Amino acid sequence: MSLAESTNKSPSLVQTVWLILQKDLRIEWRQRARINATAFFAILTLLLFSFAAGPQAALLEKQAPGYLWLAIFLASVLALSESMRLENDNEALEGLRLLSTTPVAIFLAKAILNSLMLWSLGLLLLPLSIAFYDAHMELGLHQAALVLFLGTTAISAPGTLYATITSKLQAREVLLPLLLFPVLIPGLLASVKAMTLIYTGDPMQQLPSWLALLFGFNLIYWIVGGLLFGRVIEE
Amino acid sequence: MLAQLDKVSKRYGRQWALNQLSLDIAEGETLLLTGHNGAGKTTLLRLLATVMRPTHGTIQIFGHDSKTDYEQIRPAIGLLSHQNHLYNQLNAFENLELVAKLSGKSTENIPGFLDEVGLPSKGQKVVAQYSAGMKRRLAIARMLVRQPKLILLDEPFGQLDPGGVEMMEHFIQRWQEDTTLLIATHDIERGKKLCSRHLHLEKGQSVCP
Repeated sequence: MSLAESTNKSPSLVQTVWLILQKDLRIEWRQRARINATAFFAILTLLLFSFAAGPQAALLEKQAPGYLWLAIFLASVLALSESMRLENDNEALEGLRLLSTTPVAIFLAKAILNSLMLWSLGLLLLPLSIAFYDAHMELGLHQAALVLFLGTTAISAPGTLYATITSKLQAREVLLPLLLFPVLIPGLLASVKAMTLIYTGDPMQQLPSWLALLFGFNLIYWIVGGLLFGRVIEE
Repeated sequence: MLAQLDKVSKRYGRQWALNQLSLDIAEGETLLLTGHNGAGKTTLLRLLATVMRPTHGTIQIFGHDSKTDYEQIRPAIGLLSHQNHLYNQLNAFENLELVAKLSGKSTENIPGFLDEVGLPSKGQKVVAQYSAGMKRRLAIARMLVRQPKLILLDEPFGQLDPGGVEMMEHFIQRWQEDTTLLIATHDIERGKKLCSRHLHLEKGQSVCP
């Protein structure tokens, strides 16, 4: 018997990513625990920053973009560490591997889901940060949404990879931020700089450069993540 | 030969789970795998399923090297392990639908497969609410959807009620018609009735049963 006899026409990479993503969205919607916990944690973090800075309206307004990104950054650890848990229950990830699903497809589906979650979180926190810190945006909402998109995808790709590496370790909650934060710092700095320009205005036209830098970080993170994910999930 | 193991060893830390095991598995045979706990049965099945790689030695399955060509081998392999590879937050139909779509199989027969294993085809109950036996039945249905050519069963009668055990025997007999099977079990008498060859493992090595 040849192996070809037993194999069927497998779905394409895009179809596979969509099938896994669809499954994950369905599961996330049914549980909603990860979404709710991450959102509440991020909102609480935003509030805590305003308490920590005290009643200094000017300082809060100036620091608002940084606080916004720190809230997303810290909440992302919570979201990412939970993202692989459903794949570890009943060794479901092993089941996916046995279906000959390519590691790249699994990585893309997981990273896209995490990006969607963190981007939505960013969009939720944006008006809240304006309200909490009495800040205002000089540039448009679509530019802010673009910065949030590029910033959160820059967190999600390495985040998905490191969450997978640490998902089976006992001290994963501690190890994930230890491994992840140093990798995320360049993307975080670019995101804060770009968001500061959105809040304060961009008379020197610097925003396109920061967006290009964020795009570059994303390119590196997503390519490296896709290439390494196979090594991480295979023995 | 469907699968050939050449001096295969597998080590976990300092412990050798398999030690220089050589084995040929012919197409269409049903091999009974016995041994005490820790003898290396599950390790052997997982190596053949390509979810694990040998520390030393080579495994050829369908003429492909398991270390390098696992993506070609996997679609033809079905593993029923202690873990059921099921998503707890999906219902039975959704679990099987995902498997069918990712394997490029039709989803039309899923209600029939669920019926065959004695699970409701339209139930909205998610797998998290299933008993261990029901999860095992669903894992069997997963195998029916995939129709692999090499089936690896790790303690297939565990977690099943008497009706489930009878059903499992029925499926093994049906699979024997066109599939190669490896059955690891402590239920030696039942296994001997079903299998054409017996391999007994002790400390990771094959011994005369």
